[in-house]
Amino acid sequence: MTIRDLKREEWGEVLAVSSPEQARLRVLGIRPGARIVLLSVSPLKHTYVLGTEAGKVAISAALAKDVSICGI
Amino acid sequence: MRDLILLVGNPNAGKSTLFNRLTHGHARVGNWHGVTVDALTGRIGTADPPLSVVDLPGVYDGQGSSLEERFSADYIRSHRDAALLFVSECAALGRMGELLSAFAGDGRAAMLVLTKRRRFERMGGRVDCKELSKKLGIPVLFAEDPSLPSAVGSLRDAPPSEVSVSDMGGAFTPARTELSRIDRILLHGVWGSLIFAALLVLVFFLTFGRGMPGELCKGCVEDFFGTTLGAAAEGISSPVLKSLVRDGLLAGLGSVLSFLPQIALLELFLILLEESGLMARLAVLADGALSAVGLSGRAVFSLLMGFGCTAAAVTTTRGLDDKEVQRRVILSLPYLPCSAKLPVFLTLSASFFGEPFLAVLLLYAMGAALAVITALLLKRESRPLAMELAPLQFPRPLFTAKSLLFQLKQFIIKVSTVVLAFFLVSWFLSSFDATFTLCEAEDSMLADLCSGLSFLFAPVGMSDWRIAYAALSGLIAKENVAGAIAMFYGTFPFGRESAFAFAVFLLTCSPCVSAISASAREVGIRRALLYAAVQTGSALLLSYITYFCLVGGAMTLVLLAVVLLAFLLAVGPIREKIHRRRTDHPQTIYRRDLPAGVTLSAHAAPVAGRAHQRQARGERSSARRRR
Repeated sequence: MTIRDLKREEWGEVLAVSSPEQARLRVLGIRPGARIVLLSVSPLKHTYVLGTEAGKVAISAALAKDVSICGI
Repeated sequence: MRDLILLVGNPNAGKSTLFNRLTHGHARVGNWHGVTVDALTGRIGTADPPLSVVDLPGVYDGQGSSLEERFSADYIRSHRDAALLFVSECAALGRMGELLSAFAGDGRAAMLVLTKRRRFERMGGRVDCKELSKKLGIPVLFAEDPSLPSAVGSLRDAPPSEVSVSDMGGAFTPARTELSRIDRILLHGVWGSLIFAALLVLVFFLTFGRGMPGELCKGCVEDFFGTTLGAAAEGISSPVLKSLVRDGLLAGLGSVLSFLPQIALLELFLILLEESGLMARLAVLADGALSAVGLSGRAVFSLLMGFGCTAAAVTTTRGLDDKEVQRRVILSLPYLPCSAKLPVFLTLSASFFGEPFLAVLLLYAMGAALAVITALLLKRESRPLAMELAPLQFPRPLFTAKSLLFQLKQFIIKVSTVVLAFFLVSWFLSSFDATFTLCEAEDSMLADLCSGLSFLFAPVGMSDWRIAYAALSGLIAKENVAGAIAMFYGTFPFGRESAFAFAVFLLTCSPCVSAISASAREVGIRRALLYAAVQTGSALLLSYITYFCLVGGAMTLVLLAVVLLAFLLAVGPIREKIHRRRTDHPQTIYRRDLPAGVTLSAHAAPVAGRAHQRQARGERSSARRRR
């Protein structure tokens, strides 16, 4: 399951990242085992705003589809 | 004993605030190695020998993904004797592992300073500096700690650190991460877009609106150079020197520096948007639409400012972290009609439209469409958006002022030198005839040159050197075109088809010299001149097509649509082929091209790519003949 599969009512839940590491996302705090929260999605679902332990980050849908998550 | 400390941290960590505190604001802005990054150097205390501190652009890891990040990473590696002062927001402490691993592990003296503690603790976060210091192996202090300056000074003689980047659990409790009320509004698709649209309209209006500060200051600068200094130049007795000063130097400097108030306003708004964190929210909102045409959300500000001034908009593309996207934006910007083209469009529109407003609207819509088409044609796989959304904050006045002065200084130096040189050449050509005698414009070398160029406008029914002169004067400043037409003709004398074709030419041709010079500063002089040449050539072609469509009627329009469709269908595969050739190793042979039974030895090393490919083609021909 990826971030893009989350429903509106699941926004705000703390989730753990289970996908393999990506360099660009790692430096922003999205790495395997990290806890993230989906805060906002743009109307056309192009951009995802996530809360990480290091603050808020915005990623595009192309990267969001590679971020697998699992519940805690 | 060390004499240099480097401030290392993520963007928006608070490095610059700490820098100002340590140096008491005594900083020098530097331009390192010709790269346009904002690096600051200052001195801590009054010790002898001096202890310097360098504030580097923010970096996330050891490699760096943008020009500024790579600069910082390279700078840190090249100054191996410097001590490192890591700066991190309390909330972003989890990201420091990357930087500590990358730079602190090679035996340097290091220290970590944590900023924005109050906000972090309000959000439920906690940090135990003593415990964290034990886990990391380096001193850790809060930025508010009164002993910080002396602790930083002690880095001069501190032993190399043994950093261990391990789990910070127990010493660090992360804060709650939630969307603030303001962010909920700013990131909302409808409300956020409305707010930012209103903000950008306000910026635009204050900068370019009639009677607004930008326009008023521009007028003052123009009056100063034209009237005040021009009157002083009238007192020069030598006619050649008087012409040089009045029509060359003052006209050139006045032309460039009259842009300065508006550029200053745009730069100020840009710095305020960046500093406050609003730019990041705007980029997130706009990224969806702009990435569909191969651009980036961060380009939205530059594109909107292009409707005001192309030169200023080009300078704002510096904030784009993707060089390819920056080039695409710079190529698209000239098609957006700047405010200088408005007088020209109004002059010409009276000839081909009853209602000038509709004509100008049509031209603006065409310009925007061409900008989008240009971006689409140049579209490549670009990096998807991944950026930090720093918390919103009030911009720091001192930092804002210093950044603004630095940017304006760069603009004045780089743009003035090129534009002034151009003006001096233009003055010389328009003031002297072929025997180097002072004369009127109609008898000058420039008029002779323009007579030679008048054939370019013959296909659109305007074979007159004055039109070529007007077009050439637009290269200096687009407003000059309207002035030249008024000077030579009064009202535009050619037919409506010619008027519209000329308007299309002016809409799509190369921007003014100031914009070309600003582009040269960002992408290099050769590329900037190439862009200008391509844009002018394509502008001529577009004006011919426009004229033929208007004169030829519906049939020509249909034929043109068919040609355009064929072009668009062909350009995709051609671009793909060119891209593949550029990205593949020149000595690569595709397996499918090898004749049956022919394989490359694991140790085969072709002498030259082309020779090897010719050999492979020869082998394929031989194989086909044998079959």
